[in-house]
Amino acid sequence: MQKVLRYTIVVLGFFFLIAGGSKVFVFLTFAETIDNFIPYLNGIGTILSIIIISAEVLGGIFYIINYKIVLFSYMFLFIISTFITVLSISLVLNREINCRCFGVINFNFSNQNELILDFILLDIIALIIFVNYKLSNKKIKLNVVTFCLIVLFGLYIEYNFISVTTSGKLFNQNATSLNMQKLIDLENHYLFKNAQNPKLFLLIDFDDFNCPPCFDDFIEFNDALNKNQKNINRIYAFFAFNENDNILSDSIRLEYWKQRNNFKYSLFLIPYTIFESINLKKSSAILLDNGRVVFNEIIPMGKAKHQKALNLLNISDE
Amino acid sequence: MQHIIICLFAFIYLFVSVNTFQNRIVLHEVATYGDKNILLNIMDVIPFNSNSILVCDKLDYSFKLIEETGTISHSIGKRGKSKGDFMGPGNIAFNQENIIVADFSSSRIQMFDKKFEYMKKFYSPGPVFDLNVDKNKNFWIACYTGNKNEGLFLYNRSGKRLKNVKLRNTTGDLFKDIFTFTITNSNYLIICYIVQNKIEVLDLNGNFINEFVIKTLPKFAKEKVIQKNVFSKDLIAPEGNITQSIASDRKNNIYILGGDYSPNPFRDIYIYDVNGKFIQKIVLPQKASLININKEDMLYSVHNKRRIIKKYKIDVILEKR
Repeated sequence: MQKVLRYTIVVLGFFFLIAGGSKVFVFLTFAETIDNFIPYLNGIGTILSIIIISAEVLGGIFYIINYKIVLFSYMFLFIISTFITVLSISLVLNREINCRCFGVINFNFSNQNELILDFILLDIIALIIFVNYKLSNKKIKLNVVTFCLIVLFGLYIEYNFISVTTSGKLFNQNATSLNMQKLIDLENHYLFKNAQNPKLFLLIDFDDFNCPPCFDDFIEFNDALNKNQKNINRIYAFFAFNENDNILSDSIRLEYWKQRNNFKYSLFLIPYTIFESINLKKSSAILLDNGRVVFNEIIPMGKAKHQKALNLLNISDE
Repeated sequence: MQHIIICLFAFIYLFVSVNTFQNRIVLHEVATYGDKNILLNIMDVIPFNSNSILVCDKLDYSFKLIEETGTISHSIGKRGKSKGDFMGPGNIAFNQENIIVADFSSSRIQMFDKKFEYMKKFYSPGPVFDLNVDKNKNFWIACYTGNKNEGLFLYNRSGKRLKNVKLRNTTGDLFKDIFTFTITNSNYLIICYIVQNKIEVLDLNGNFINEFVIKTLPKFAKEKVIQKNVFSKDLIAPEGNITQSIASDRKNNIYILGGDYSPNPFRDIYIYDVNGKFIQKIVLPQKASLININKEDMLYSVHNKRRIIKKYKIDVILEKR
């Protein structure tokens, strides 16, 4: 038993060492991911990323050399709990985030898989603490039945938690972000819903193009999308128009713009009221998959998120 | 005696007339461009000659020559960074020999001859806000440098930088330093800040002459925090513009298009003289994004979310007070 535990700790040590070390190479992107998650506290991502990367590397080394296992297990417990919180929130809000948990080693795990992995790690670390905790032998003295019950209870709670977060039930109850029903209505109305395939919706307010980074980002994203002929028929751009503005509602003008930009996918004009009813305040890219929002980003979103959207659409940017 | 009485009556008549009537500037719509042709996102309009205008169309990645009839006779550029291509043309200026065009929010400026052949490119010290030409056919470039008292640069007709003109109200702040400007017939540089209520008047040597404010508008645009930073200052952005655009007519009157804080947002044009004396306010029939005036006192205004250009004739009428 002790040997199995020792090997597990060494494997975990290497796991955290590699995870931490690989993040060093994409340190800025990792910090940016944290900043994006906490948008109003820009700069805190840098500190948190330094702390997380250092903790993973140091903890990994000490796990391998078998030094202060309990202390570093508590530290990992804290880090993993933070990851679980972040991933749960993103799943509840139906916002896929690129957490870059493995830095340059990109496993392309979905947030759902990352959450399950984190729970498994949490369980293993909790077990390590339980077994290594000096008091456990003297004071707690749990018998085998009590121990099994605690484990089962813990796993049951985790199972329920994962089910709720990944099924989107919480999201549907607290529609804090997008109005899903309106989005699905839009899909049904224009596209005759094809539930099997993920679809990328670009909901665009022309006024946002007065912001140069927004416009450049949209055009860059468009170039990336255009390169991928394979699934171009699953990309739809909706341009919001104000009914008072008869010029913007001119489809000839939009068609001309489509040609000038060499857009390969379909463009639609929608009344601005639809844009508002979906709860969109800025131009966004939204990926709908089987009635769920798996990607929702405001434009500009940056190249990493362009790639993320393309991956989710199952097309390669290469 | 009769002569004295006639003179007296004539004097009284003139006195009453002067005090009863006044000159009033009015606009008469002459033409509309962009309703038949496709203009997507007009960023700048300047006169090319008395019958035609040059228009920067950002979303079409081109600048266009539009004839008086509304026909687009030339469209120059496509999307790209190569010679003669644009990422989105923003401002344009023409000195009767060469045309310069700056990409929107970029420091790249491309020069074309008057037959629209690409000549060269050069760079300003920062992203360009506005371009103009003076009587010596030199180019004036307004751009953001991030430095206090800096933002207006003089370039010769071949694109070589001659000097930096010190401005009183630039602070180094990204938003507060944005301005548009015009050069009057009598060679005054009129600087109009977008989020500060401040009009600065300079001569062509860059010497400060005076500054004034539009009395009915607030001193600064309201601000809001758009990004909180832990280790640096929060990013604060203005909520709307105080002014939007500036132009000047043959009589050196300055036309300032009011922004979000005007009683009629983006429709009110405040007319001042170079000494800062208010002349009158005119109200455009619809919201405008920018205005410009040519040598024949034709005012061009851009409407419908930068898709339509209207041409107005500026007339002065005698009106009862």
